[in-house]
Amino acid sequence: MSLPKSTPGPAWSRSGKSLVAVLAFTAIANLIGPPAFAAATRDDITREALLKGYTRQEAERRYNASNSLTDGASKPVGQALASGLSGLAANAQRRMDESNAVADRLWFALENGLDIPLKTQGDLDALKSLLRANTEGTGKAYNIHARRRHAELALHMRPQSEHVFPVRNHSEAARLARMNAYSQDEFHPWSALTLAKLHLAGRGVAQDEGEARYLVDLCVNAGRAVFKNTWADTLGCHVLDAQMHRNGWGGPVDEDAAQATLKRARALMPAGVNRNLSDEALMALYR
Amino acid sequence: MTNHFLPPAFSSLQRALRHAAGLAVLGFAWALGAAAPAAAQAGPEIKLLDDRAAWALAPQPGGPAWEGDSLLVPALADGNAHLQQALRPVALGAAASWRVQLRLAAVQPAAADAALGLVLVNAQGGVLAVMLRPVERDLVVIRSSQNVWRRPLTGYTAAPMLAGPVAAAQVLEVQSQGSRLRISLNGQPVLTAPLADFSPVKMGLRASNTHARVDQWVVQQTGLDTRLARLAGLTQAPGAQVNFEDRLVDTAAATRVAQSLFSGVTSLFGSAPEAAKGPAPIDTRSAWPNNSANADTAFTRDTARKRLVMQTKSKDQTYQVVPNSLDPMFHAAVAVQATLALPLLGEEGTGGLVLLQTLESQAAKPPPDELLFVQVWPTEVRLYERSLEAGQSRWQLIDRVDHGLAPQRPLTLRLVHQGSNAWVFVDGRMLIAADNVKPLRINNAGLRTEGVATMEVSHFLFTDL
Repeated sequence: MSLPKSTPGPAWSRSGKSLVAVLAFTAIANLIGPPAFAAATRDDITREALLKGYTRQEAERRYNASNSLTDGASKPVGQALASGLSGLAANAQRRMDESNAVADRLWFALENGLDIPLKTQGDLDALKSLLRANTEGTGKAYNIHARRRHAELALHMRPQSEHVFPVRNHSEAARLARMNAYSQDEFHPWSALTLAKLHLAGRGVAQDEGEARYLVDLCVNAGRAVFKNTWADTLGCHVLDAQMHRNGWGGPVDEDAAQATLKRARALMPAGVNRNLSDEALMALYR
Repeated sequence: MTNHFLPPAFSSLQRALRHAAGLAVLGFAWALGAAAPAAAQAGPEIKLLDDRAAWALAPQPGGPAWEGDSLLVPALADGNAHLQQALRPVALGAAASWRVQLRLAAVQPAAADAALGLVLVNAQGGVLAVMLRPVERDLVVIRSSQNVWRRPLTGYTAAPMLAGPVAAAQVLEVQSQGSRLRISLNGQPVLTAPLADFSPVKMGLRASNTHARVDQWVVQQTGLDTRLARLAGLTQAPGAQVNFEDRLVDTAAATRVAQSLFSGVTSLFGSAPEAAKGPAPIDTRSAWPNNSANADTAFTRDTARKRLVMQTKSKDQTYQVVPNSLDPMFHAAVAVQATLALPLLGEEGTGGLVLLQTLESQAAKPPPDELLFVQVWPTEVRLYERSLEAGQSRWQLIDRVDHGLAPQRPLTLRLVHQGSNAWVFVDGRMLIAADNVKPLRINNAGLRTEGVATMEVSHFLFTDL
């Protein structure tokens, strides 16, 4: 008599394997702790007793013992852990609130062109991380504020800039300015004006009157700016335009063009601002 | 720890007001001329009058001649030739800035229109002349190219510092700075004129309707013309980005070598060696598109020779390859540069570089690209513009200039565009500076061949400046 080649083996052997698996599962479940047992119903206990060869009473005794063990030892540990964690969480929350308050205060200053009061090392660190996070640009228009302040700090145009940049960093300022000076969607007059000045002086970028002329033309001819409070920046562009015409920078000496651009600059000034300034005063005030 | 952050001196409001008044930009006082400009790198001064042999003086009687320590350029008696000039070569470095100072005097002004001054000649024979008229007391800058005089670069600009005797010696100083000529007389600035990226190889004296005498002549290389250097790609501004670069190097080669070594080692231990694989597929995000071969055109990437080979096989065909590239910044200058060889350049076949404005369109038939095309011919370089007018493409020749290179020599061609300006460089020399191109939003760059031509490219770069 020949046996079939694919005999899977005796039935006891197969059930033995599944027994081992179930035992292993329950052992792991025991190790993991009470939730496995807490969910167990009386039927589960009965089935386990059957599986393990206990009597029903023995199974119930063991179940209750394991429950009491959980109550006796792990609950206080869990409570202590939970209270400690909640304390940590509360501390973390408090610190986050504090740092958010600092960040909010700094961001308000950045957005409104106010000077940033740096009183502690923490303020400085917060400012640096705020600038770092908001300067590189994600395509959001509000980043101009961070870039502008960053450039102003790099150029030491703000009080306490030396704490952010120990020495003037013209290259960094130029790098940030060009993001908004050459951009179509996020063009900002201040950035074009700053980059033009850097090109005139040859600081951080190549000395290039032609490029300065191009940037000033961009700025002067830019339409209505997207950002608020840019009239002073646009006025700065007009003033630089007049000075370039007057000095022959990036073009011929042209006093007529200088006068024309100063006239346009006066027209830009909003009501309530003194327009009766001499050319020299206008150029000194809005450069 | 000591607190080194000082309390603010003013209230926030005061400081905000101060900012609004625009006084926060005091850091730029130096930029506006209050402080000295960046120190020029003083090069060696060359006193060119001392070197008499270098002056090319026409030997005809009555022409320019030495008179003691002075060079005398007389007006001719012949009414048809009122103009004389004496020239000599000057050796200035690539993208150099320079200064020329000369003391000259008019002798016997022949007419009210007598003029004398400095003349500059570039490698292509173009002439730029700064002429002062002692009788009218003004100054004008004129230029010619291809032996054709164009309208003056500047109008006649009054120069009141020329007051005094008409024949008095005047010190004329011409300085190149930022691709502009800065002209001063007797130490006072008069005007600046566009140098149009004119790099002189000869300088000299020019006189019209008068005798002119020069007794002092100094040329000084003052450093690097930073604008020219930037346009030529010698320097790059911080923050400028490379949109696309391909050195045509096979980046997967090292991996393949390692793999082949490893398979050699494993085969020692008895495992079956894998079948030899072909080269790794090219990543089109960082390299050229896949190779192609049609009946009329072919494009192959030869990684062994680090070359890209383009072939247009039919006389009437044009072939253009444009890699995928990022949008550059809208207002920034963009440059495309490639090292090219045109070994089979014929009378009808040419190649070169393109800068393109590709419009995104949902239409089934999108509008054709607008582009700038710099084309290399056996003896010259041409700059074309293809623009759209009422939906129709229109080609226009912007400029053509002799490049003066031996045929079939590899060359580095560079095309720069910003606003209505375009510049063409060959091997770092500026050949074309055009200010009349259509302002385009360039967002792509590529290679183009026309007619029966084969062009090999070994380095391609598309960048913001």
